[in-house]
Amino acid sequence: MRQIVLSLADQAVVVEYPESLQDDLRTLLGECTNRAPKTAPTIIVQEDGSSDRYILHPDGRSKLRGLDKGSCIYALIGEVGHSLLTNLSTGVAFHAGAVSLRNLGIVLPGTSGSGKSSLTAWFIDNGFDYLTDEIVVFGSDVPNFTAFARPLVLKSGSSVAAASLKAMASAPSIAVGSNKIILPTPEPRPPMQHQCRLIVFPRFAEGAELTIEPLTAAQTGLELMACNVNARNLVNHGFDSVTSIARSVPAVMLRYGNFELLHGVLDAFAELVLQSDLDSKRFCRIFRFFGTTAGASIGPEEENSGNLPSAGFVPSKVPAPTPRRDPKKLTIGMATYDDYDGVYFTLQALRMYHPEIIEDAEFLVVDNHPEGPCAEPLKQLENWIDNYRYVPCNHWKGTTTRGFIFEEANAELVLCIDCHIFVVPGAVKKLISYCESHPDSRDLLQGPLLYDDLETWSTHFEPKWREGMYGCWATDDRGKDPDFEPFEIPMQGLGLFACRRSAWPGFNRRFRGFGGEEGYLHEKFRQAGGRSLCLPFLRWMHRFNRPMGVPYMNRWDDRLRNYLIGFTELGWDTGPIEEHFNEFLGPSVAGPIIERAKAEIAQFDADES
Amino acid sequence: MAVPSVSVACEGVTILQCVPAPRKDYHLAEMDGESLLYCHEKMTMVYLNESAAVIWRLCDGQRTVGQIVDVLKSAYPSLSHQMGAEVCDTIQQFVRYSMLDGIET
Repeated sequence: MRQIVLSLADQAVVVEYPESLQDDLRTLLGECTNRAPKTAPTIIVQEDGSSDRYILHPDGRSKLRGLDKGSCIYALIGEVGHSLLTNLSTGVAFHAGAVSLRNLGIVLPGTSGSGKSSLTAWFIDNGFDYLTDEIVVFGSDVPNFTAFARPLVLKSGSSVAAASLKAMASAPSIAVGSNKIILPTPEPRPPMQHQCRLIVFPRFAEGAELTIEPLTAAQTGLELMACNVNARNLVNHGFDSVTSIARSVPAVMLRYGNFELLHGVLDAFAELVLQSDLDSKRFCRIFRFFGTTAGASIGPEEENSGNLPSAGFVPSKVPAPTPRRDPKKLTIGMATYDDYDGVYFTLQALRMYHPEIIEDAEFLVVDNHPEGPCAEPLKQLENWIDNYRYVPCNHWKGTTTRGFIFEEANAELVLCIDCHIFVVPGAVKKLISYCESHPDSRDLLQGPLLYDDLETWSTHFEPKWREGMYGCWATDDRGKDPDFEPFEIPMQGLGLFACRRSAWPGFNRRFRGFGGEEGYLHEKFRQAGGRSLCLPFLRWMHRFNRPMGVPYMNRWDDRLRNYLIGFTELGWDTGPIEEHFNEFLGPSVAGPIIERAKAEIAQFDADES
Repeated sequence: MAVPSVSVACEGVTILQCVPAPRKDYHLAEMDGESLLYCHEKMTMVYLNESAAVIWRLCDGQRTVGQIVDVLKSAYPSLSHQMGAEVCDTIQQFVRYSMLDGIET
């Protein structure tokens, strides 16, 4: 076995690994000559029967088996970061990317999905030095910081453009499913201190205009606190350190919709600020006087200058995410868009009728409209429910938001549900037991849908086209008995499904809006070596009717486009899609949508080649 | 079943007669006129813009809400017609986050 010691601040972790990983780990993590303290945790990687499958033993916790090389390294990098943070108390750590120019640092804090890895990649492509895309630690000598020098990880949700940037395309990399691990520097660097001269909070949203908004010290503190990843180890959860950083370093909120908008603006702006040595207060005073320029605006409008601004309480335009808590066995995650009632009753029914799983579960609510009227009440549920976590998400929209649940989940087993379903008593506990007895499962797990009469049910979808949907409800008699053994199904409605987080194959990043995922996701599991199973005990009920209307757009062109993109990705024939929609919507409506989508797909292929 | 309404009051008196005081478990950082408050127990952080921070500072356990309104009316006479409503709205928000003693929903 080989050994490597990785460190951050005063923490270290030992990784023991087999010879077959030597080349990859040396390339990606480098060789560290530091001696580890005796108390350093150890992560062991072993070959799992053959040299192309691995077992990962995180320190003192359950092991992950059957990982291919890429998945193993991907999981290892995550575990190393987790281990380094577990007892880190000599500084305040943030979930953040970081780059430098002439040893002056820019820190890019953000929760998962905010676009910090993509923005880090963009800075590297524009001549900045890579420091990290994951963890930054500020010690007592603010504004100096140390970065955890791990390889850059571009997740499936990252901007497509990031992976194709010149600096990324030419760097050593390993593909892990639709994720990519990249080493953008010639060789890994040991952690060293940099002075932070600028904080940029990235907010990527497809199609958004470029805005660079200076933040006050208090606004910066609020944003930073949401990205603090070792709060529980610190006095006052690091509040004093966070406010000290916020006072010292200028910060901006960066909103952008594509990299083209950034060229010549963000790089020039960053260089200017890095040279200036301004503190937060002076920076804010100066940049608030800049108006909107072509394609970019800097600074919010002044409010009632000279008078008391209208007395208002502004917790935040978007509620802050609930801090992460200790890992659980199961994450029950749901995405929502302005459906407080649905979330409320789904969540409380789970708590009332499944008390046996409360201690083992994390309840994760991903809010797809965090600027909306339900955001604050959803956030406030964290005050009532110990293991509840609210996460705003306006970077991913529609169907793919469910992928974000897997990014944010803190458990290896994830039960992903619509925010308006009920699960029969005892079924969640049985799901946990099933997964514990099948630790290597790479299957998609679902159950029969119960109808409102509580008597009739559907176990699956038959793969047929009907009224613009792929899949028709169907019933297999084996689903009648909840104690009957699991059986394979072609597909099923995705109001409730579960899988191991490491088996999650992700959605196609080109999907837009809603629809197109049934059948597609089931086949992705199959193509990755898993199965699509009906667990007869996992019975659930779904609210179908929405007499008050649905607050988001469900568009035919998105659905049809998603089907075409998904089928193309899977290598399936797209002919039946065109045939069905030409008949269902009529050629005059479906034809132009199909043509546009096909042209887009051809362009994607051209871009990627 | 009626939905509980969120209104602010003290037992037997109107909101203007209540004497709000900051809860002890909120840590305050004043930052260039604005404020950040952090509750360790709840792991909750609250951002107050300049005007909300002014009202927060006046909630000292001595003044009634009515007196806070009077102080702000005399400091900002051009806004006096809206000050009562603005202060009550803001205090209601403080109450929603359980930031005050001496006043309840």
